[in-house]
Parts: sequence; structure tokens; C-alpha cells
Amino acid sequence: MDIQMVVNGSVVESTVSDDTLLLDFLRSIGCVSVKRGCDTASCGACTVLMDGKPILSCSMPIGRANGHMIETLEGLRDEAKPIVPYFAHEGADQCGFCNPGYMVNIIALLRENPDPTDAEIAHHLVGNICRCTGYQSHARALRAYLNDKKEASHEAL
Amino acid sequence: MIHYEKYVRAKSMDEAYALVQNFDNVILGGMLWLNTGNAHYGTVVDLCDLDLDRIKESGDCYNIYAYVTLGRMETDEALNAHYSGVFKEALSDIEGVQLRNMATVGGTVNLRAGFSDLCVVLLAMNAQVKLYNAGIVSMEKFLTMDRSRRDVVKKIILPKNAANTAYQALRNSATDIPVLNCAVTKVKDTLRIAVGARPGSPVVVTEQIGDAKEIAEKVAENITFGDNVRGSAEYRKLLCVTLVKRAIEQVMKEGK
Amino acid sequence: MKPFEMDRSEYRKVGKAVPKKDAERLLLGEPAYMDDFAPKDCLIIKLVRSKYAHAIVQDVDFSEAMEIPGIVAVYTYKDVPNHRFTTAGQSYPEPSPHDRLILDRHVRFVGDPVAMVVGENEKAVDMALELVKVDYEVLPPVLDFHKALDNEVVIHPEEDWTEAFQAGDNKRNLIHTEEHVRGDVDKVLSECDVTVDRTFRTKANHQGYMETMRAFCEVDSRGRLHCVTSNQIVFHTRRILSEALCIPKSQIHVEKLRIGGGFGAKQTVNNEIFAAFAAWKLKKPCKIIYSRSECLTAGSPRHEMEIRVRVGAMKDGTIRAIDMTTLSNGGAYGEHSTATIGLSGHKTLPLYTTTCEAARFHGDVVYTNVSSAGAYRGFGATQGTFALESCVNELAGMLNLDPMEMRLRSIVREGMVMPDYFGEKLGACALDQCIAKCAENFGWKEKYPVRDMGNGKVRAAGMAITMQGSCISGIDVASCRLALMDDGSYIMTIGAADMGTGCDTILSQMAAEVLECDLDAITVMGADTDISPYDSGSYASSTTYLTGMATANAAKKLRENICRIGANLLGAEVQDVDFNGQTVVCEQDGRSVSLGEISYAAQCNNAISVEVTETCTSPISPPPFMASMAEIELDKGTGKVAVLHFNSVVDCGIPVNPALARVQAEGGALQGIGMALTENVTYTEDGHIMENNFLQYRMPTRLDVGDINIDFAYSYEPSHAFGVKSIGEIVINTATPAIAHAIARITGTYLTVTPFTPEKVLRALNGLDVSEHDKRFAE
Repeated sequence: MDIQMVVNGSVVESTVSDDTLLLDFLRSIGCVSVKRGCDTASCGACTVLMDGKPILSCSMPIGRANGHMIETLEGLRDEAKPIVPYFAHEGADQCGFCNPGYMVNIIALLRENPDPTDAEIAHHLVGNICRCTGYQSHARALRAYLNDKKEASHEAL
Repeated sequence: MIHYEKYVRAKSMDEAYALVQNFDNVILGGMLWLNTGNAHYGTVVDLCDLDLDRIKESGDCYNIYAYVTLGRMETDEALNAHYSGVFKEALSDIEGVQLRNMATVGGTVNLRAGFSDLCVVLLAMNAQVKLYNAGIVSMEKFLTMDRSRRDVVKKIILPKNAANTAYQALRNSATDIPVLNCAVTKVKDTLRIAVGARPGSPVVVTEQIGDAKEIAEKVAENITFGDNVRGSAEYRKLLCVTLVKRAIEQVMKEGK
Repeated sequence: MKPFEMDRSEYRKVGKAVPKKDAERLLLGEPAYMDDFAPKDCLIIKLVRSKYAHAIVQDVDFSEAMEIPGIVAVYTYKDVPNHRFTTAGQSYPEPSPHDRLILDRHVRFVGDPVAMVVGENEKAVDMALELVKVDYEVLPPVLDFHKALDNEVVIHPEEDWTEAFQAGDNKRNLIHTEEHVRGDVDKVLSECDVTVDRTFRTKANHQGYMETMRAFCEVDSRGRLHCVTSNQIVFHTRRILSEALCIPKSQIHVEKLRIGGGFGAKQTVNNEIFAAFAAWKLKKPCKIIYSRSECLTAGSPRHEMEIRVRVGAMKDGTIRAIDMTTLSNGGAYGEHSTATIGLSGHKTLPLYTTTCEAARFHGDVVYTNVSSAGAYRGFGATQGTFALESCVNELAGMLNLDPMEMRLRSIVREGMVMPDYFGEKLGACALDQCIAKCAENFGWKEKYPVRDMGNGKVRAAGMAITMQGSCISGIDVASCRLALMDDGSYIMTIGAADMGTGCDTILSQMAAEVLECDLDAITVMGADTDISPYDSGSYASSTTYLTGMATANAAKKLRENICRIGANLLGAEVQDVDFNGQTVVCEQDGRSVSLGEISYAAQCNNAISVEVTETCTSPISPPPFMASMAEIELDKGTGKVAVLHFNSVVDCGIPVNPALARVQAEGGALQGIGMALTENVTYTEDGHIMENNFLQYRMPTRLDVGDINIDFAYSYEPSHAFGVKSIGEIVINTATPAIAHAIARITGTYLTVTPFTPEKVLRALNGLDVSEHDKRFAE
């Protein structure tokens, strides 16, 4: 089938087999931050934004994504960059395989709720499985980032 | 991983219904369960162009159309205000936000999974399912309908009088499939008690209000349970008493 | 020039929490892993896997499969070399038996590969897989590992089965047996005031690495086999591919890129053999990516073990004797079986060296017709710790002693010779401080008592201590090459594998400490068998300790050579100059030359190398120590246990990078909590694994782990330049016994079979039988 969608701000046109999954299509056009970690929609490593909402690209038929706006971490790096040093500082990146998935989902969360509580963060990110960290470093990093951001905005006032 | 030859966005319910009369074809829903196996299909039918992602209030009910996602149900303010947040309660532990942004009400209901958190709540509420061909049937009836007769779920209809509904579940881990779930709806002095993940299809019984523990024990006694990897029949029976009791106590407290 | 010496209080790089060198790239999702770089036109390989737990393949008919457009080849047992090897990544001669063929006609578990299908795209291969018709002669399987030894069904009857250490017997289904006896255990036990005698069972848990197993192989411009894999052991991979394919090692080049988690799983050459075989046959790039389901049914999980422990103590809590008997389930093949079983004893019994007068360990590992086990963080010690620490906690309960204080009486101390740990002398130990600090951080006195919260929930706490090693003593070899570049920067080349743990960064910190440079001045290369100096690989907690030692030595040597060249340029004697990271300075007159000048001078009329390689081995494996305490809340109505707090204090010597060390410990706690509460592996009557995807194999989410709090107690390991010991593995060992302890505080019952599901806990609470019904075990 012929498809056309906006990926990271650029119009992408392609001809693909009908049963292509969004995950495989995105990787084929170079968005390799999108990862497959399971076969059952259980891990969150393939998270991308479709029309701004976090979804699992492993379970999104290309036909349904057709005509929509897709963002992967490749297109969200400007939003990720201020957060990245906090995760790096904690050593929270570890093997890195799950990082793009949760980073995209964090961006989705902060767009919707710029000042989430720790409980809201944990609940929002619960579908992003990480096997390396025990999650504590994620929580510390995000808390530190949010606190610094708040402080900076207070100072600006 | 799922394979199929053709992807079709149905232009009408007629077209969708006609297509799925062929057993090679299937309606997509959220494509989450479909994609967990290695099934091959001829045509997959997407209803995404049929304006089915609506929640509509009308008279004494809410209409939840088939392509409303679980995430939308979980966060819809009007819905959760009317039903005291029971959908948020029942749906927010299903995997993660990404999955719930994709899983559809129609797909979930049509799957009729024994452990479905949505189905157990709908059953307690005495909700109805609007099928394209067979028309409106009760959730209770829908759960036992012959699956070999293909139809298309168009919407579910939630009675407003089911506002006082409580949900309880036990999961071995935070976002796992439940070992047992239940929902209790109190309408006047009547309790509709639905129990799911037995692990078979959810069942419902009706009781008059009374001592929560006694009712819960009676319910547990009268329902059959089975074994699976998440728990034994014997354990499910014990859990049933605890969870049904807690749900009854919740609806009694609500005092609506 | 002075020899490099520095007091540890002056360390500028070691002991500092710097970000990992690759952090930003990984966090921004830059290409980093095998499949981000594999050629787009790679052929795809998938495997037809056995439906039966035990069978002989009579015939494979793939004629229909070959008709699918895009299918290039189907290979069966008829096509592969008839030469047995092991896929275990261990130093030669491997202690694991040589019991594998790439494809064997005799299939030994549900999921054992029967045929390889190679095609141009995934869809074609998936369709072809279903069209391959296999005719099996089904054999009776041995599923119950209690009944494997001397069973009439022999899982490896082949005559060409070999095992390097002659401690196993394939005709008896015995992979390995060992026994160590010190003193008269039965006599000492009979003299004790109290004894416990319990049998524990742990499951074949999965490492749960997020990047599934994968590799691609191609034939390179020199006609050699080039294998790009996601594993921890490139050099062993080269040897194993050579043995499996029967081609010379000189014809094989193996490299790893970033690894999406390993935890020991990728210490087994599980999938690479298929990619290598197909690429070598077809002379085309071939790629294999295991599905999650394949990882969970044909990966390399932890050895299921049943451990009987008898411990005797006096009324004051003095532990006097320990008797441990381990039965380990190797599954269908013997990878890592020989090495893991002994560690269930070697890395637990020495904990109580101070007062333990007699100790006995007996272990058997057997073949059965389930998925083959492998290496997983903790490697036997995890299973043994659960068993022994549960018994020690139970003893404390019987004696009405505080289990924390009771342990202080018997635990091993710095300077002791440990007869149950190969007679090694303990150079550094802060276990006593680990316990004390953990108790303080955790609030042991407040949390230990059972507290009814009045809402149907009860709280209590439990504890455990543990030890591990820091390499395989007398075997592991580690190397590091450091080279000065033209611009005064350095290239470090290693054969150890950063699995995300941060060893590239940690080793750079050590080199930077000696070379007095910024971390950014060091580029880390490897692991690559054509480029890296030999290293056994990253396993057995060895990298920070052993490769760290090689790195420190290489850096010292390079520093010396830089000084020599600098002295030549300055016309000074080498003993009169010193290096400060940027310049070599003549101490008499203050004249100096920059590193840039030195690096150019090194390229002209110079015979002093600015590229040095150092290699290390170690006669000892210094144990790190750890104490952990867990607070749980138990729902009396459902049996559900929530971990509220999990505290550990780790003695890993000097933590080179405290941020990364902390994350190691937090991650280990998560895997331990998963093992304790949710991660189960069960089988059907015919040997199928029920938990064959992430819907069923439930690893902890961020809502399942509670508040994990890590701290350090410091010791200084004298055998290492920077006083370090390991941290990678030890951190997984304590969660299971600590949580079991807390549950027993409330229910009065020590759960002995993992995981402690709500069902088991509720049954314990109600005084019911808590044994688990296992469908493999005939009643």
C-alpha cells in the first residue's frame, strides 16, 4: 500500500506491504531509536508519539498510522536534551535499550503535565520496563530535573 | 507477529460486517491481542474512519463507541464523575499508558477475555452491547453468545443508574493480568456482583444488600473457579471472598 | 621519574560519580546496537524448533517452504558439521561438556532447533517456518530433575560426548558432581543446641535483558567470517564458532557493539552459530534476532536448583556447622552447569568462617529435557544465599535472637583464611560495617517488629547477607592496551564488554587517574577479536577488578614511556622528569615538553612505544560483601506482599564510580525482588514453558519495587591498584531471603520455593500447605 505520514516534521511517502508495523517502518527509514523488546506489547521500548500521544509502534499497523503525525526520539531530541544530563548524572542510561522508549514517554507526560508528582511519574512510565536500573535513578533524575526547572522559572520571575 | 495480506479502512459498518463474515478476515480493534500470536489473516478491517471514537451521553445512559480507547475511558472526566472514578480504578493498572492509548473498548469487549477488567465492570453495571447485526444485547448475554457468528461491536451502553460501582482486583504484580477481579454495582437495595478472571469468562449474580462478608462467602460458594499459572481455583475462592467483600463495603459507603 | 603512587584520598577520577561515556548517545537514541548497523539487505534466519521435549528427528521435509518466494535455504542436521562443542563462553578447556551440534537430530527440549530457514524477508521466513514438516520419533522425556540421575532415559547417549574434568557421566544424565568436606559436620551438628534442616527450590529465572539475543554475520573483504554480536565474550565466541563450524580461528572476526543488557545471558553463544553457519555457507550477510519468546524458552536462564541446608548453632547464636546439598537442573545441555553448582556453596559457606567449625558441600547437576540453563548474575551464589540465609534467619527466630546481632558473632572478618573459599585469605572486608550501617539506614529496630497496621495489612522486615567473587581466580585473563594519539589523546582497547554497566567509563577513570587526563581524552575501543588484546570477557564480576588491574598497569607503563620520550627531548635523565598529564617537566630547571610534542616525537626516530598492552590474571578472587534489609507490607485478605523499603550496604572495596555502583545495586535489587515475588517458570506435563512471553513472565515494573536505598561500606582491597572489588553480581543475592524472612515474621512459615506469590503467602498465613504443584513432578 502507498502511505504518507509526517515523521518528525517531514512528510514521508512510501510503498509498503500492508502488514508492515509502524515500528519496522520507522526503523527502515532510519529512526532506529525505536526498539522492539518483546512480542506482546508489554515492554514500552517501541514507544513513539502518534498525534502527540504515546503509543506502542510494535502494535500499530502502518495503515492506521497512514496520514498521521509520528514523532520518535530522533525528532524529539530538542525536548530530550535538557533532561538527558540528569539521567546521565545518575548513571540511569545503563544499557540504553529502553531509554528511547521512556524518554519519549517522559516527553509526552511533561507536555500534558509539566509538574507531575513522583507517583504520577511512576504511574505514567509503568509500561516502560527497564531491567538494568531498578528505576530509582530514573525517579531521582526526573525529580532533580523538575526541581531545577521550577527553581529556574522562579528565578526568572 | 501478525501477518495479513490486506489492510482495509472500512467505509461503512455494512462493509465491515460483510468483510468479517469471511473467517480469514478480522476487525483490528487496537491490534494488541491480535499481534501477540503468529496468526495470518486475509484482510484486516479498520473501523478508524467510522467516527467510533466518541463518548456520548443520552438520556439515561452513556454510549461508548467501539473505537474509544481504554485510556480515554480512564480519563474521561464526565464519565468518571458520574461513575465515581470506577473506570480510572479498573483500567489504570492495565500494562501502561501507551497500551491503553491503543486498546479499544470494542476490541476489548469483543475479545471477551476472562480476565478483562472492563468486561467485569460492564457486567456488574448491566451494560449493553450494540452489535451491528444482532442489535442491542446485554453484556451478560453477549459473553455467552456463539462466537462463530461474526458481528461487529458498535458501542456499549452504560446505564446511568449504575453510578455506584466499585471494582477490586488482585494482581501478582502491578500491571499484570489479574488473578481475580470483581465489580459490584449497587442500585437501590440490589447488588449486582460480577466476578472475572476465574479465570474463565466473568459471571454475575444478584444479591440484596446485607452483611458484606456473608454475601461474599455466598458468592464465592456459588461460583466455579479454575486453575491457571496465576493461581489455583482454591486460592481464587479465598480471594473472591476478600475482594467481593471489599467491593460491597465500598458501594455501601458511597451511599448513593 | 617517580613511580606512580597516589594516596586514595587524592584520587581525582577514581571514586567520582561521572556520567558514562556513552550516556548522551544512549539517552538520545543514537544508533548503537547490532541491528542499528546491520546491512539492510541481510538475509533473515529463523529457527524451526522442536515441539517435543525429547525426540529423534526422522525427516525434515522443506520442499514446500522452499517454494515461498524469497526463501534462500533451509538447513537441517544433515548440513552441519558432526563435531560437538559447547556454547558456554568460558576459558579453554571449558568446564562445560561438549554436547552440542549446530543442529542435532536428537532434540532434547521443547524449543530445541530442528532447522534453520533463511530468507530475504521476515514475512517469507515466517511463512516458510510453518511449511517445514518435521517427522519426529517421540521419546519419553525426563522432566523431573529429581529423577534424572541414572534414569533409564539417557538424554545424551552420544559416544562423542566429552567433558574436560571427568566429573560427569553422560550415561547417567550427570553433568557434574562435586563434594567438599571440612571437619565432621554430622558430629558438630549433633553437638549444637539447635539445628534447622530445610530444602529450598529456586526457578529457572530469566535475565530479562531488553535487547533480545541477536547477531549478524558476513564474509568480509578478506574472505573471513565477520560476526557482529550482542555478547559479553567475543574471544570465546571466536573459539566456539571455530569449533562449531569447523573453520580456523584465523578466519573469524568477532566484535560486539553496545549490548542491550546481558546479566550473564550473553555469556553463551546462543544464536551466533546460526548466523555464522548461514553466512559462511551462503557468503551473504545473515542476521538472526531471537524473539522474546525464543529468549524465554530457548535462552540461557538461571539453573533451577534444589538446595538442602542443615545449619547448627548454639543458644547464643554461634553458627558451628553447615551442610549443603545442591541438586541443579542443567536442562538439555550443560552450559555453565559445572561452574554454577559449586558456587552455591563456595560463595555462601565462607560467610560464617569465624565460628563455622565444619562444612560440607555436595552438588550434582543433571540433564533433563527442559530448556538449557546458563549464566545469570549471581551464578549459583544467588540460589545458595536464599537457602543458607533463610536457615540462619530461622535459627535466629528459634533462638529468639536478633538476626542482625546473631550474625555479627559468626561472620567472616578481614585477614581470615577462608577454608571454604579455596583457602583464600580475606584481604578486605567491611561486612560488619555493612550490617551495622544497613541497620541504621533502614531503621532495623523500628521495622523488624511485626506491626499490624489496623487496615488488614501487616508490616515486618527481614534481612540477609551475601558475598561473591571478583573474577575466576587462576583462570581469567584480562588485558588493556593504551595508545597515545597524535593530538595527545588516548585510545584504550579492551576485550571486556560494556553491557551498559559502564566498564568503558570505569576503566577510563582508572587510566585517567594514572595519566592525569580528562575522561574525554580517552576513546574506548572494543571488544573486537581483531583489535582488542585478549580478555576472557565480562563475566564472573571480573571486569572492574581484573581488567581494571590491567588498565592501571598499562597506564603506568605508558606514563613511564611518555616520561622517557620527554626526557630524551629535554636532554634530561628520565629519573629527573615527571609527567603532569599535559607536559613532561624537568624537575631541575622547569623546562617542559607538551604531550603533543611527545606524541609527534614518538613518530620520528623513536624506539620507545607509546602503545602498551598489559595483561593480568589473579590467584585470588577477593569477595565483595553486602547486607540487605527489606520491609514488606502484607495484605492479610489476599496474601499480596508489597516491598516498601529495600536497603543494601555494599562493600565493593573502593567504588570507582559511586553513581554507577549504586545503579548496579539498585538493578540487582530489582532482579532479586522479581525472583522473590513474581518471576516464575512453570511447565506443562509435556515440558512446555508456560511463561513464554512478557505477558506471562512478569518482571517488576516501577510500581513493584518500592523504595530501594543503597549505601556503601568501604574496604581497600590490597591486591588492586585502586583497592577495588566487584559489584556486578553480588547485588542480586539478598532480596529473596530477606523478603522470605519478612514474610515468615508475619506468617510463621519460611517459604522455600520461589516466587512467593500472593497465593503461597495467603496459604502460609492460613496455615495451609505451601508446597507448589509442579506438573513435571509425578505425584
